[in-house]
Amino acid sequence: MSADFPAGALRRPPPDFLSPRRWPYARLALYAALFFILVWPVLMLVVGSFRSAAPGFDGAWTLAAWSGTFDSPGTGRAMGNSLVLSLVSTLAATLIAAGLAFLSERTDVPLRRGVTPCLMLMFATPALFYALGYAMLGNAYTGSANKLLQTLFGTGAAWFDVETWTGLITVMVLKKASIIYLFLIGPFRALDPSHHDASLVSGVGQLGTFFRIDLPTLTPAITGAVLLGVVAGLQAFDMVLILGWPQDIDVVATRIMSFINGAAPPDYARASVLSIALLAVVALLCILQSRLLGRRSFVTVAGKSGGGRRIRLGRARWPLAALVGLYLFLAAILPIGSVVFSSFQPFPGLYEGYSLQHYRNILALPRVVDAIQTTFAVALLSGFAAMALAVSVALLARALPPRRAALLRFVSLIPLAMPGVVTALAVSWAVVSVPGLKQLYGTFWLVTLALVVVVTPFAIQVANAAVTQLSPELQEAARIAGASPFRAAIDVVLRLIAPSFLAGWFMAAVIVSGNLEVPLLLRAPGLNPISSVVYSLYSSGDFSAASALLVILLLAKAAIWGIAWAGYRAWVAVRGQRRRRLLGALAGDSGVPPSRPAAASA
Amino acid sequence: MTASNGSGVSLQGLRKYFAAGKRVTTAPKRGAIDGLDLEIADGEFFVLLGPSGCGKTTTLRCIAGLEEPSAGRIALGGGVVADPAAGLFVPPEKRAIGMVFQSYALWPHMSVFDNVAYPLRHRRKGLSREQLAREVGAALALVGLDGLEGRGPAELSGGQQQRVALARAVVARPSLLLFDEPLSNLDAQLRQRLRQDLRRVHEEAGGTSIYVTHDQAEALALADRVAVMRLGRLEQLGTPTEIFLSPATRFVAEFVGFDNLLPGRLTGREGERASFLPDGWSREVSGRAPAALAVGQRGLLAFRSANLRLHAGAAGEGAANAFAARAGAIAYLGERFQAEVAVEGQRLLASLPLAAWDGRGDLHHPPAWHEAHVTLAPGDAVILPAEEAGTDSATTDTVAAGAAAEAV
Repeated sequence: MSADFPAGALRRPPPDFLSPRRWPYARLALYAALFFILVWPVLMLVVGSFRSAAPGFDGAWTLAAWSGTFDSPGTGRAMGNSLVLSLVSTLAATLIAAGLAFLSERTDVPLRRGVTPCLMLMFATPALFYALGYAMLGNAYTGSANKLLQTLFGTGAAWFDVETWTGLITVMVLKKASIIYLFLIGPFRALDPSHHDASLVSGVGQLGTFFRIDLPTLTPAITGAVLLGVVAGLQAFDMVLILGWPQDIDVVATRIMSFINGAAPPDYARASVLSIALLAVVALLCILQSRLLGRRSFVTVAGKSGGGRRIRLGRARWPLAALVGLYLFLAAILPIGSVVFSSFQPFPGLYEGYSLQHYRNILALPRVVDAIQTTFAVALLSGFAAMALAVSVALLARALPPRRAALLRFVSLIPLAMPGVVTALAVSWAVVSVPGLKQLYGTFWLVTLALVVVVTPFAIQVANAAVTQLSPELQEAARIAGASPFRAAIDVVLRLIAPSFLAGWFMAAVIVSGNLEVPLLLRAPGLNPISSVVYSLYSSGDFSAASALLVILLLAKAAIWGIAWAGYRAWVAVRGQRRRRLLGALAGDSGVPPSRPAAASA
Repeated sequence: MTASNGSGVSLQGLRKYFAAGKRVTTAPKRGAIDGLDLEIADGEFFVLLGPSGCGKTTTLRCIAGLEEPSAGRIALGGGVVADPAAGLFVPPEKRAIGMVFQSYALWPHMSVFDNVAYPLRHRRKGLSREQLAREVGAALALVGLDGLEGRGPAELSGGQQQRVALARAVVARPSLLLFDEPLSNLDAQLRQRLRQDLRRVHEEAGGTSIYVTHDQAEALALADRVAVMRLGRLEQLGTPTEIFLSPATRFVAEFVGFDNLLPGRLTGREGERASFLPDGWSREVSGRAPAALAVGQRGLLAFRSANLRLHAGAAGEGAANAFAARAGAIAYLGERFQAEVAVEGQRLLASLPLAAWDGRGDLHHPPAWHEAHVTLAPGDAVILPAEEAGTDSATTDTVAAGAAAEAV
């Protein structure tokens, strides 16, 4: 039977505009790009460990690095330190984070509404900022906390010295708890209240129920958090550099850095060997975790939620609230306050004559102005590139069979296993190994590329979250309504992704602007962003100038966020006005008010 | 299973408000309770029935101790367990109860055995391992699941999970059993079977059971007494027969399936029998009226479409409750036909038995009768008091949904 098809009909429906089948070359290009920035650097890192010269320079093949690195006592000590630091800080941080998550989500402790915002602020504060804040607070000579306590209680000696093992671990625990908390808060919220209630009516009290029912259900989440904490601990750099080096505390990441910046000539091969060792350990940990958790699946049947009733603490309220307040004070308010405070001090240790003098001074320095421009450019570019890549990967992964999608996701998480120094090193090796890209070495573009790699795993999480909310039915509805595939893609997908894209761009830029390791490793004239200028000001003793610059960075971030937020509100208001006018015009035409209430502005 | 000792439940003036942000409003919100008084006898199977948001689950949770009442008194087996005015609140783990949740709430990290043994371990300490195993085995046998002790909850079907939850609730021999819509997550066939098991377990356990549901059929099949709730208040309390055949208010009537409601006036009565004149009608209808309604008062006449029979031909002289009618659209309901009829200028729903169809004409169009009439037995017509002005008609949607679900 022959039907009359309307003009423009095709024999088979074309795949949707963004489907990979439609753009085979673009898909290959995406795969190639992912391979180049995520897999190739690791491969070249391995190759580089057998080279005797710096990347890009002629050298011979040698096994000297492999035999020599693990023999040296410095390296052994660094590895031991990393392990101890990581395990101890993760254990303590997980306990604190779990306690905070439980208190803020499941009880009625006062101050609970401030916990999540405070910890998000801590998470967004770069480790550099944090470490400097504590250094200025608690160092033995000029620390403001020491001085305050000495004046109050009239003792001569310093009360504590943060630049010790204890100090370092304490500061790491405080910061790490914020990461683990944000990781645990979702699973805590998702706890089924009826499981808790069923235990209560079976005769077990609140505390017993927490340990017997709630905690075991959270085991997968807590194990994941512990793993995350251990991996992050093994990669610690900024805090160790600032708080640990005065005491010669060395960890793997700082040792790798000193092979390159601290040896003459720089020993890239040994740095590469140590990096590979670190990667191997992290990979083992990840395999271990997936083996441990793979067997037990805790599928809970979601039923009617009883509103997530909170536990009434009774008499324990105020002591627990004091503990929560103490943590928030020590971990969030104190370090940030300390940095702001010392930016107004004329000299560290002098407690009068506060002024804006340091701000004026540093803004007059040409290298600071350069640094601000560099930071801005690098953050903007790498943030955009990372988000664009991440969104493309997320849209691609939607259409792939599950195994390939899982592989894609795994590959995108590789940079998480590498501290910034290792990423910078690996990217250097990768770039010089490709003929034609060699001249990128030592330039702005190499730094940008390395930072894109650093921030890609984070960008992919944001992009995934945004894209999984897009059901294919949304585009299908547009197609049925008459839109072409291109229009359906623009009107539906891109417009819905846009807010998440912008948010991810901003957050990636924030992470990039606080990164110290990459610019420190890839030192080049004219290439120093704010983070390395801050560090060099600090190392030359100019604490107050370093603080002033950090405060400027913080204010710039807040200003950009403020502008973006105001812009969003303005756009929403304009859109609402346009809608009202349209609905008013519709009512005017027919004389009948539209059935939907016109006051539906956002 | 031994009988319990004094396990009646008493609720006096129970009130529960939910705070809106920081302010506590005194207007009853969704799920709030607004002054509830109930006396549940020892050994009774008591059902709280009502649409979602009427406060029945909140009441159950107050009895369990999972919510604290804002005002009133709750007593279990003679002992007061909650009295906000006196500052008294006994936490749930100290009340000797068992509860079955809508989502089963089986702990995924424990086997079936450990799930069922949990209350035994904590309520009756000091049991030896053999005794524990025996009690758990007995509870599982009671619900028909012996042999499944070693499985995990994720390996069980929905019906099996619900049975495990039931075993867990009864294993420690509580004197009070609470059920929070336990069957609503299961499909219809499973629901029928489990319903019988629930009643059987209640009989064998010998204690009091309080059961919450929005399903009218479940309530009628299981209950010794039913309390119909609406917006936090008690609408009617009675046996299933009383609720089903003699609803006391418009809301209850609509909820149990009375689909014809006519406002009008009571014009006369002799004992239970009364005559009622619906607004705009020329003749009276005889029906049943409660003693409280006086002659001359306004009221509401309610009857089921299943009881309003449509017949061909004119009404006979002197027949009680026979009215001329004109038939409209017909719907096939399976065991009968339902017809829209016009009686005294108003649209009502009536029934035709299957036998009335002689195959002539279209199933959906009225039979081509020149004359037709409807009859209604006086015992099937219930006269209710008139509603006060400003009744919330938003509940009629949920009520209609409940009635429709039951009618299918």
